[in-house]
Amino acid sequence: MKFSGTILSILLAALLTGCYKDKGNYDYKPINRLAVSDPANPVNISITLGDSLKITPVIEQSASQHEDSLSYEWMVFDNSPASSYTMPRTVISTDRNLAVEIKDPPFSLGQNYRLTYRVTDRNTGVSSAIYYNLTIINKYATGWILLESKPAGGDLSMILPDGSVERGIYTSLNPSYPLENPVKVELSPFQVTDDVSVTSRKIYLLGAGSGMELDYQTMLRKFDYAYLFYGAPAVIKPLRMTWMSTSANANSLFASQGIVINDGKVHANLVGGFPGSKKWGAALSTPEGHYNYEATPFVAGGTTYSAVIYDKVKKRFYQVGNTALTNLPIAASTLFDMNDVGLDMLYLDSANITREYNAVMKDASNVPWLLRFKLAIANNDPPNVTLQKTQMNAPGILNMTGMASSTITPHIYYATGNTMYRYETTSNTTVQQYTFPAGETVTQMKFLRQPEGASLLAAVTWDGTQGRLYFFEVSSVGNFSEYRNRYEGFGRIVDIGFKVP
Amino acid sequence: MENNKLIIYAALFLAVLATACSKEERVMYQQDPRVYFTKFVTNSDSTMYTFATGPDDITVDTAWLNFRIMGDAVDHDREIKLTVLDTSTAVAGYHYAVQPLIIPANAFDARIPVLLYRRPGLKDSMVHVVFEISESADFKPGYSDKPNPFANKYDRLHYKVSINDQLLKPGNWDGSLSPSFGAYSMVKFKFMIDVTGKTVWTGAIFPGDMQYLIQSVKLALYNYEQANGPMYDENGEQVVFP
Repeated sequence: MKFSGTILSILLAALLTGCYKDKGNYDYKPINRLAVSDPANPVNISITLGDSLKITPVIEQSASQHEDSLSYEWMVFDNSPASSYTMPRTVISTDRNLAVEIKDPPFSLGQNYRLTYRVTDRNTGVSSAIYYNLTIINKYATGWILLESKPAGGDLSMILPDGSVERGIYTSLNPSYPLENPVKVELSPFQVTDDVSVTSRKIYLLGAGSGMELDYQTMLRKFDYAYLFYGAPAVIKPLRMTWMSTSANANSLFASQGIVINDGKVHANLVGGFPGSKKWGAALSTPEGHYNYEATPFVAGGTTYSAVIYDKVKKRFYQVGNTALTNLPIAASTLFDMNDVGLDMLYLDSANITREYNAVMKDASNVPWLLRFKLAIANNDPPNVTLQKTQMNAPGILNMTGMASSTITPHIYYATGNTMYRYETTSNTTVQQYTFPAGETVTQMKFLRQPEGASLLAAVTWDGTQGRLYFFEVSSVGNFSEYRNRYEGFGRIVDIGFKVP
Repeated sequence: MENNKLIIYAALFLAVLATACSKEERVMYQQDPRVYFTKFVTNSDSTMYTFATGPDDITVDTAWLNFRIMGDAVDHDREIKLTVLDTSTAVAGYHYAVQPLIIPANAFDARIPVLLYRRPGLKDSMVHVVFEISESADFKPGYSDKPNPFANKYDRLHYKVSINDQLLKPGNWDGSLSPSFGAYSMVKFKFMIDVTGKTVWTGAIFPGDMQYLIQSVKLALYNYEQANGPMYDENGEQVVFP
């Protein structure tokens, strides 16, 4: 009994310890925190296969001044959309700063990789990481692309950023697929996720009776034109194959709708986040349900209207829906009727204000008209899209052989023969801008707006034996007097475009 | 003696304390193996099959029963037992034949074919069979709930297969297809199948594919009308797509 009382007392005492107020030290002791950053902030890096990649991140520590206790790891894995999550992860360096050659393996041309830089404090196990998206490119990543018509067929040349010229690119890379009667090279300025192939920018070559998609990085033929449709059109006669974006942010454009103009009919491609491949569908009907229309090879788009085309037959604009062409709302037209313009379209291009367009037209009496409209309507703004209708004071414009609308100033450059003019949309005046050598005829013009640096006007000429490409550096008021560069020795250049990496 | 008691009490006390240190076991299904019909978003508790949308020379086709087990996989094949509700009108061996009902070794699920036979009577009548999972030597019946009571008529122990040889209005016409294709008629539906080659219109259709189907039938109807004039359905109404 005596013993039991002792034990009981011990047990009770043990239990009572549970009531003892804990006076332990619970102050947080600061540990060495890490923060890794890259002052260049290059989240997306396009790098040429064979080049070296050097990255020097900044490491900040909260409680240490030296980096003796830190370990480093640079790890990559294939992050292309079609890749599996079980793709191998490769540590390419354990040095503080990265300096490696981009080579195969683990890198492959055209693939996307996720590069992770992780810094770990070996004393505490605390780590910090930053990420980079790598796209492995080749020398064809950026530059001007020239689509040429040669006696043996179509070909591509490129003018690279260093001014060097690569010729015969298409025929050397794709000798088994001759391109007959080339008409257009289409380049998307943003990536497209169509689940037909990996997400990338797009490049299409269109011929009079054929077309294809090239791999954007390798320039190898990827898909035949017909494969890009759910059901190929009965007549293959492509004029346009392009992507529109309704994004209001020019720095983060995404594809909203694909537009093909084939044999005068419009086909749409509904892209989006839903599963399944996205291809072009059957020809779209008019709102009345018939197909008696013929689209011009121009497509305009904005944030309010993703795509608008012009019909030669009814001489009017249509909005491109996903299952049919549709009328623009009646309230969209005040200065002229978008649904009943009544003029012949000569040319349509972006104007100097984003999402505004310049359309050069002529009436039945061969009088030229400038019609300006916009396809982005800000919140609470009236729904009108028509901006201007002016009878143009522009000599020779009905016989123009090339035209380009400036996207920095209110000007339209056009050429007849070897003479280039500059038309001002605000004052309705025209000045002679430049004269090319006798015997050369301007056949194509294109304006390249460059936010960082001088914007360029490119003009293509043909003298019967060779094609030439001139670049003019355009001043902030739209003026220039002499060309900056001239490249020659090409076949007949039928189209040009600027390829971004 | 007293020391022994002290040791015993101390040991008991420590044992009680030590229970707090035991590692918690992962909660796993430990009961009898069971099996149930997998519920998918489409055709979740029934399938309606028609021979009418396929080629005329097809006499046998296949529907599928999807099963999933409760409990762990084992290293040998296991048998599922199905019975047929008395309300069923399809005749086993004549209208349909269920293939061996086996959950393979090391598998957690199985997709088992049911052969469907094209019989003359299906032209003017529809037959059906409702399967019910019964207890077999290897499995007891599993979940008996309806995960989506609004969409499911049958629980996870029952599955219905209906068979016919008629061009019946798809069950999702009014809900999903009519906004794109308008009012249903047999002539219109047959035309849609002929143009697109698509025979199954129930279930999910991706938006891109749906746009193409709409564009295709519109263009085909336009071409038909250009060659033949308006198309009329079995009710005398002109076939149109909105």
